[in-house]
Amino acid sequence: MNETDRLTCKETLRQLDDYLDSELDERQMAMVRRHLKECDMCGSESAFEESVFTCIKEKIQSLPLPDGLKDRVFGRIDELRRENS
Amino acid sequence: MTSPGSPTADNNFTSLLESVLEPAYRTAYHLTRNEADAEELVQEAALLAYKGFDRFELGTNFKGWFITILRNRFISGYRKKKREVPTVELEDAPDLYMYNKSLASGLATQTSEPAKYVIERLDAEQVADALAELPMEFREAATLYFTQDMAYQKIADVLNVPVGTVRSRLHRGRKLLQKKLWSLAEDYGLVSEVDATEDVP
Repeated sequence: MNETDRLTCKETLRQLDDYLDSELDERQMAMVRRHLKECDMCGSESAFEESVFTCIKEKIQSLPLPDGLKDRVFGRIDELRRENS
Repeated sequence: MTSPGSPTADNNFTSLLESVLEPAYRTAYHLTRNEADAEELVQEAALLAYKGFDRFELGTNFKGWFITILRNRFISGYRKKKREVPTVELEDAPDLYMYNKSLASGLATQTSEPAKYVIERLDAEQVADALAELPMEFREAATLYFTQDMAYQKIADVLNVPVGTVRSRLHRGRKLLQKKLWSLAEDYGLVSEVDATEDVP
């Protein structure tokens, strides 16, 4: 990687969401990673954003399947099978 | 391709559906914001998927295929049937909203993990309410992102929009979500209120 591959803080921030979701190509990922390593402020912002997304995901994914829903789903499919047989 | 009704196809369908039922219910719940409607939506999507299983190619992405059916059913049924819950038309939130608020409020000096501190103290329903208040186009993309761990392209496939649209909706939606969550945290006294005039750039 050469000097032309260096990003500014503004460019890094613009790509931060995509970086955290691994949605950049390999070269862009490396450029953002390098900036975050070298810039304490951007590194701190990135760690915070990552923590926000992770915590929201954990909270939202904590919702369990309601009791009996699986049986009700497959029960209705069985009914349909019987009707069609 | 496989025909529904044959024992092999039925076994394949059962095992594939079982593996996606829980994440599918989460998506349904966050789209409908109602347990009964979410259960009905999952059941209807399952019946539609069973009937159309001959159009599914084994070995491809069943979760994406099923979530697309579920989302289309939501669009055609529930959104027309129910009066749309008015969404709060939030203005664009600035980047790094919670980060800057946590600095301005002093929270960042009180805990080493301010984001975790705030979000863990909100219950799952409060986070779901915040998500539900996003404008629908942001809410759909954010719901698929947070409930399914889907890549942008997969979300784009489900929503039938270009991947750039997903990127933009997710970016804006997540910023608005941060603003809503911070506002909830203020309402519940989890963080000290920062003067509105100090809104971060």
